[in-house]
Amino acid sequence: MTGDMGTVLLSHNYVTEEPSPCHLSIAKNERTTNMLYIATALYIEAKPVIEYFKLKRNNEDHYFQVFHNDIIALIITGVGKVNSAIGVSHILSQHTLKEEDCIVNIGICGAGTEDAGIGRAYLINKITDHETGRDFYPDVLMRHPFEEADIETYASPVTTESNLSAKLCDMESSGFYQAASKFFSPHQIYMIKIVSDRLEGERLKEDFILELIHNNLEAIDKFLAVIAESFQKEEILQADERRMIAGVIQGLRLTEAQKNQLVKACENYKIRKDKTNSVNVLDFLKEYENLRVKTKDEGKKLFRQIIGKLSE
Amino acid sequence: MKEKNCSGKLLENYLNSFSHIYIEKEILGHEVTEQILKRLPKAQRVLINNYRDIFNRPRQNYIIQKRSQKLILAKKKFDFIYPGSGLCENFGEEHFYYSSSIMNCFYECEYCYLQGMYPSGNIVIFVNLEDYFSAVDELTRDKKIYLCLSYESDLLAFENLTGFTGRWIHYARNNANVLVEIRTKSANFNAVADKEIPRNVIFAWTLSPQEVIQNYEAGAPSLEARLNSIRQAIAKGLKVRLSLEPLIMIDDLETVYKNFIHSIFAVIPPEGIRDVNIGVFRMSREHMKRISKLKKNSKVFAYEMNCVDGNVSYKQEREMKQIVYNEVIKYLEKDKVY
Ligand code: SF4
Repeated sequence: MTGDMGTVLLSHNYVTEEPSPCHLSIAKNERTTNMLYIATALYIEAKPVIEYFKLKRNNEDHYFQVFHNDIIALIITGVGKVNSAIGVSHILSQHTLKEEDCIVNIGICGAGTEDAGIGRAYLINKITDHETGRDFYPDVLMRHPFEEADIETYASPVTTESNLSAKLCDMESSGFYQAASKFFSPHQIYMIKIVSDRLEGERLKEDFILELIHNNLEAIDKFLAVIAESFQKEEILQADERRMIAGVIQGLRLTEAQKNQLVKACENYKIRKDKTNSVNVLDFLKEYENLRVKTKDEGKKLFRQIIGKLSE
Repeated sequence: MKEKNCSGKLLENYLNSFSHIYIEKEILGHEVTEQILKRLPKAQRVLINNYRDIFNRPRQNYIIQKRSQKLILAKKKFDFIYPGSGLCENFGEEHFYYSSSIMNCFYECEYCYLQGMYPSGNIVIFVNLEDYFSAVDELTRDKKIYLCLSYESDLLAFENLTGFTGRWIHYARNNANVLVEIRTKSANFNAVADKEIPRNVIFAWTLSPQEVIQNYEAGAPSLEARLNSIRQAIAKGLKVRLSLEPLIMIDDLETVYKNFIHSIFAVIPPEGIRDVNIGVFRMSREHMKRISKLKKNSKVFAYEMNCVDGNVSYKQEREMKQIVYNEVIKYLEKDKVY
């Protein structure tokens, strides 16, 4: 957000329509349990998102307003780059992060140029911190429905475009990015900024902000669905294969070292033999799956036999 | 379009490579910059101060970035030419150097050592080739050097975008103290076919059996296309180097490689070949560890490896080399085979 948002009038007459099933939950339900983190500066920027994704308030968080469901955790960080950085660090350090997770900053911003229309959503490809002069670059790898722009982050509200070096300006992006990049790779960090003003210095009405976010929510949802599914790791061993191997490990009473060797050998065997991913090349392990050896020596013998087959 | 190591559905989510060009402000207006921008008019342009701000960012994921590689146009400020390392084959030349005006490559070989070497999968093009030429002028004032131009990328593959190979050919014509090698997997000789290529420019084609290309060299041209390019070069009077490296473990290895050698000499006249080098895949253990961490399902490392003096290779390294060597010398004098 850009201007003096502390003075935004908090009205409660904003009416939301019944949201249609969101793309993000469909994409996520088909897949695993990676998380999407969302940070906004203000509650008013978050409200349409909370409603759209049906997020619930986490009452156990005493420091920040946090809302979540199974696949999203949203934090309201407060205004400014320092607050944004603190909020992002707070939410991310509370979770066990995965390589497939992403974080997105959604919020309003100002624009110095006429061609950045009010209400238009931009995906940010470059951030300049006005005070330090440092530049940051999130990766832009995915197809997206937005225009792209650079943004300059200021420590205080910008009311004139005279020293603006970027197309857009705000008060959070550099803090958000710097904090997020301590936890995530550049392809896991996104900023979607919606132009709310041309730096005229006027107060923005709450309804207006809600509308700006709301109007872009469907596009945002579709995009979030894309980033939620695109970094999934392709596992070498499928669940049933892992179960079968676990059975062998238990039945043959394998040591920790033998267990690791067996898993690695199975993975390598599968990579070498299973070119089309259509045949179950590890099926021969089934005959060992339910064996129960009486002595470790017996287990060792069978283990060698299996490793021998896997080395072919 | 190239196949990449990611399932088809998810790949559709990615932007095409070169969707973005990051340009150092300093080289805006440079003729190479302008030429590249003209060739990629739809790319999103992002101005940057220094290529390192983007290329050296921490925690980048090389493998994921390769699915949608970006171009970074920059100015090289120093270290234009490096002395060659002990691991490179120097073909008996005394002063061996290499130089890279492009970092990274848009092919996607499974075994590519660049993937554990660079922090980013994006491609940097240093546009100021003229400064490389000055550095070589300086270096060759009182000695002859052997200069590899295409070790950290595939220079000829980029020719339509940069024109660098053509300019090196032109440079070499006027500096007899430099012997340059341009190593490639591309089928792009056409891009320089109209140039007058002097004897101190060696084109070296890296070849693999089509079975290996299919499984290990995503995005790179087929064997047939490379052989066509080589024939074109030989027809122009060049003596080309063939690099049968890295030999890769594959089912039916002996048959595959024998057929491969046969298919080369069925279309390439031995007198057009300057020499052949043969090398089995090998890599330092540290480097292998880095790559296996990036790529858990690497096909290269799914075979049994041996480690000798800190370098890993297949257990059957010697046999593999012998099979290919024995086959090559059926067609070529031994002293041309390394
Ligand atoms: S052609 Fe060479 S540089 Fe390019 S990906 Fe393959 S091994 Fe790497």
